[in-house]
Formats: sequence, structure tokens, C-alpha cells
Amino acid sequence: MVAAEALAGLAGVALFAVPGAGLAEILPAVRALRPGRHLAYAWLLGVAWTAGMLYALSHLLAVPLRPPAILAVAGAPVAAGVVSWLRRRHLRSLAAPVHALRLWEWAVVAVCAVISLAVLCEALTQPVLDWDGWMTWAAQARYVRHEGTVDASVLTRKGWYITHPWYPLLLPVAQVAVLETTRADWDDPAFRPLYAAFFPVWLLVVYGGARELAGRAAAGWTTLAAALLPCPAFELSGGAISAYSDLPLACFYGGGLALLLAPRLRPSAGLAAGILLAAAALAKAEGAALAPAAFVFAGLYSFSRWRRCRRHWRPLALAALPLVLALVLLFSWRAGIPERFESYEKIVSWSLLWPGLLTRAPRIAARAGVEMKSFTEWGIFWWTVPLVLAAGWRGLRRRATLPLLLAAAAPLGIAWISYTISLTPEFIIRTSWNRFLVQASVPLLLLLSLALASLLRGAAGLSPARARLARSRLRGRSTPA
Amino acid sequence: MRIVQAASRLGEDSRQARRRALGAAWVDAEEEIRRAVPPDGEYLLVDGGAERQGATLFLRYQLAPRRARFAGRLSEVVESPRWVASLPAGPRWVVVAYPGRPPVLVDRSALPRWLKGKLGRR
Repeated sequence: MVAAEALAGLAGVALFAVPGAGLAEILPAVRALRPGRHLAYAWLLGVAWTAGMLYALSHLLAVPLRPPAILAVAGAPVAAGVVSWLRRRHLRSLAAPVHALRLWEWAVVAVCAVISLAVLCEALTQPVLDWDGWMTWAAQARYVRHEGTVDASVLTRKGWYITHPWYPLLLPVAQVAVLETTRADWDDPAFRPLYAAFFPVWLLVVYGGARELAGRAAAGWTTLAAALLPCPAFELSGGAISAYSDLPLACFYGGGLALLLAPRLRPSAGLAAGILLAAAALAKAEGAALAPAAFVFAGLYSFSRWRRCRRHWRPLALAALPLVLALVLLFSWRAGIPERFESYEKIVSWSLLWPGLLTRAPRIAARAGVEMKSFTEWGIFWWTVPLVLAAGWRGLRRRATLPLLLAAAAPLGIAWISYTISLTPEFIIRTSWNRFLVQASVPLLLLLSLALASLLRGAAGLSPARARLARSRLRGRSTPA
Repeated sequence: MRIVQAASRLGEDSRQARRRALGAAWVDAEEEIRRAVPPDGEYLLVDGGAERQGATLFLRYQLAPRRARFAGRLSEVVESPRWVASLPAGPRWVVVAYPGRPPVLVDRSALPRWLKGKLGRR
């Protein structure tokens, strides 16, 4: 890599991080998050805002996807963030207290940092070498960039050789934003660090969510386990070194859900979660189903706490707003694209759905099991997960367990249906199952952290009741007489 | 290991990285096609391999934003004159994508002769 190209790639990351910092500043609930989680959500909000707004402006108002529009869209939250910061700089900060890391936590941070750096190095030194990058995401980005619009003629007119023209374009638009702003050559992979950045962000989303639910120790071990998985980092078909949209989808979907599961849901947290779920809907085809599903699961969780917190309807309404707008944008954009599902008609048949859902299940499960047992892709992760969940089942007796379980099951449910109706299930499972697991990863890892917390308490010789008692005694001791 | 590899590639620009990753012959062939077909141009794309090998997907990305019209697979050509006559009107250039080896650029007017030589050897 030459310095200029590496700098262009890093400038591409900053193009989303800086407006994201502005958004995080004006949303009090995000501003109050701990530094690592704050950083991750700022980045996700930056990508969601910048690429989502450009997508909408290009389709609805025919605004050209060129540097003036890109910089204006990215600059708006920066200006708002600066104004907000100037107005409140004399006030006392409400940010969460920062605790000093223990030695083992420093070790976890070091491992995560080294793996993230390795992912970034791969992104900076290799051209796009992955199948879906060539087939869909990076190819669509080049067509969109050339014509300066998300309604590029290759997508909206029949006859051109294009794969999945109806796949949503959030990530290709993000690529265009980077390439146009850095004035990159067609072959310059300046957008690749954008994808690499989703890996540390994914780890921070997992850590932040796990820490809220299960405490520091369980969050640390869960994050370490996630960081050491080869698939989300280095898998050429869907990992952070590729140009696939699955890891970004996992971050938007899991990040939005985790925000909505906060014990005291604030309106600004609802809005931030809605922006992330909107991005999930625009990131990948299945995101249009997963994002509303996450909203429903979180809604059920909120209503189960209705007696305690009757004001939850407001954050939920604020979460629904961007999501609904994103779905309207998606369907409006798709309406102009011919041959939407013809490419799928050759490889699926809905007549197989019933009783195939039952009769094909053993074959599908066996083939999926082969993928999960692959040491080079998952290590021993899927051998240990059932053991940890079974041994730490007491930790799963929480209100958040059900929405997390449903959210982890939703991508796998979509996979099950798509394999059932597929005419070539073996091939489709082999090429997509790991990616569905990545999509489900955040809620799944949060469940794992709950079980792990119970095990760690047990290892320390404390039952949950004893732990509560110990905490209350500790509080009693520290209270001045 | 990846960090060490990256350090060893300091000073390598994206063009050199493509030559390393894709092969010099492949990049040379692709650059020849890019010179012939302008960025806003179009071409007919023929698959010299099987569908699942993905040679056309790979080449289409490398040549984008040039627009492609898919013309079929070489393995499915039975009668070349009839096949050539059935190709969509318009593009002057025909590009044949192969899995694992460089693409070939053929002028449409020379396609029957090229096919004759190619299919004759099959």
C-alpha cells in the first residue's frame, strides 16, 4: 500500500465517523454511553445517516451523488454536534463514569485491537476478491458512481447483465461516498477500510450490550470469544475483509435491538435505534424483514415492562419513524426496477415450502451442522455454545432473554425458509449459512454473555441470590451512618 | 501474519496489488479491453466456463461501469452462425470470460471466425 491510498481509505472511515460523532453528540442517550460503545454507535449512526440520506436524496430528489452533496449531508450533523457541544460545554457532563481496566481486560482489548488491525491491513493491501463483492455490492457501486444516481440505467432498464438489481443500496452508496470524496480511481479500493471498520464496531456493540446485561467479566469473555472467531473477521465470503453486507447488517440489526432493550429507554435512544434499524432495512434484502422484527421483539419487551415504565411508547414511536421512512424509500426505489425476482425464480419454488419445512429440516440441519463444525471458520465455538448455555441456564431467566432469542432465531428462520424452497439447497447452505449466523451474532452473543455471567458467579461461589445479598451488604457498608 | 504481510507490501500501489492478486496476464488483458471499450460503453459478455465458476461476474465487476449484455455460454453454442445471428444488436465488442485465465476481446465482425477456430478445437 502506498501512503496516499492508505490515507484515502482512512479518510473514507472518517467520512462516516465524524458525522456519527455529531449525531452521537446531539442524541443524549448515545452521548451518555461508555466510550467504546459510544464510538461504535457513533460510527454506525454516521454510516446510517450519510449513506441513508444520500440514498433518499438521490432517489426522491435526483440529487447527484457527487462531493458537494456528500459533504453537505456529512457536514450537517457535524455542525449540529458542534453547536450542541458549545451549548453544553459549561454544564456538567452526564457521560457514564469511566472505570479503569483490569489487567485481563487490557489483554482482551489488546487481542481485539491486533485482530482489528490485521483485518484493516488485509483491506488496505488486497483488491476485492470475494464473490458477492464482484457480483453485487461493489459492481452496483461502480454503476451508481458512474451515473451519480441510485436509479442507474443498468438497474432501471431491462436487458443489462446485472445480478440482484433489487438488492438495497445502502452499502454501495457508502462506497460511492468514499470513492467520490477521495476522488479515487476505479481500481482504487479506498472503500475497503469502510468494511473493515465494521469488525471492531461489531465487537464494541457486543461488549457494550453484554456489559449492560451481564456485567463486565461476562462481557469481556464474550467479546474475546467473538474476536477469536475466524469467520466474522477473515472469511472471504462474508467476513470483515470482504465487501459482503452481512457484518454491517449484523451491526445495525444487533446494535439497534440492544439499544431498545435498555432498562430505561429514553426517547433519543429510541430514535438512535430507529436510525440503525432503518439502515438494517436498507443494507440487505433480508434486513427489510429483520429490522421490523427487531422492532416488534423490542416492543414486546417494552410492553412487558409497561407497568413500570408507561412512557415507553414515545421512544418506540421515535424508533418506528426512521424505520417506516426507510421501508417507504426501499419500496419506492424497488418499484422502478424491472426483473425484481426473476433471478430467484430459477433457483426457488414456493411449492416446496409445505411440507418441506418439516421434511427437509433434517437434511438442512445436517448440512448446516457441517458448516458450523468447520474449525477453520468457527474454531470450537459451536461445540462450546450449547454447553455454556446449558450450564449457565440460570442466567437466561431474564426478561431480555425472549427478545434476544427471537432476534437470534429470526435470521436463521429466514435461512430455513430459503433453504426449504431452494432447488439447490446444498449449494445455498454451503454459500450462505455462515452469513446468516453472522447476522444473528449480536443477540446470540448477548445470550451467551447472560449464561456466562451465571457460570462466572457460580465459579466465584455465589448464587444469584447470594450475589444480590452481597451487593446490598456492600452498599449498606458504604452508606455513611 | 497479515500485519507482517501488509508491512512487506508497503509501497505497493493498487495497480501493483491487482497484478499480484489477479496475475499480470489477466490485468494486461483487462486493460486492453478497457482501452477498447470506453467507461460509458457497452459490450457483449460470453461465459467461457460454467455458471457457478462465476467468471462473468468477476469480469463484469472489473470492467464496470462499462455495461454488459449477457450473450450466453460457449459450451452451449451448437451452431455458431445461428448463435452469432441471435446476439443482441448494438455493442461492437464481445468479451469472453474464462475462469482462471485472462479474458479475450473479440470484434463482433470477427466473431464467426474466432468461434470457428475456438469450437473447432473443442
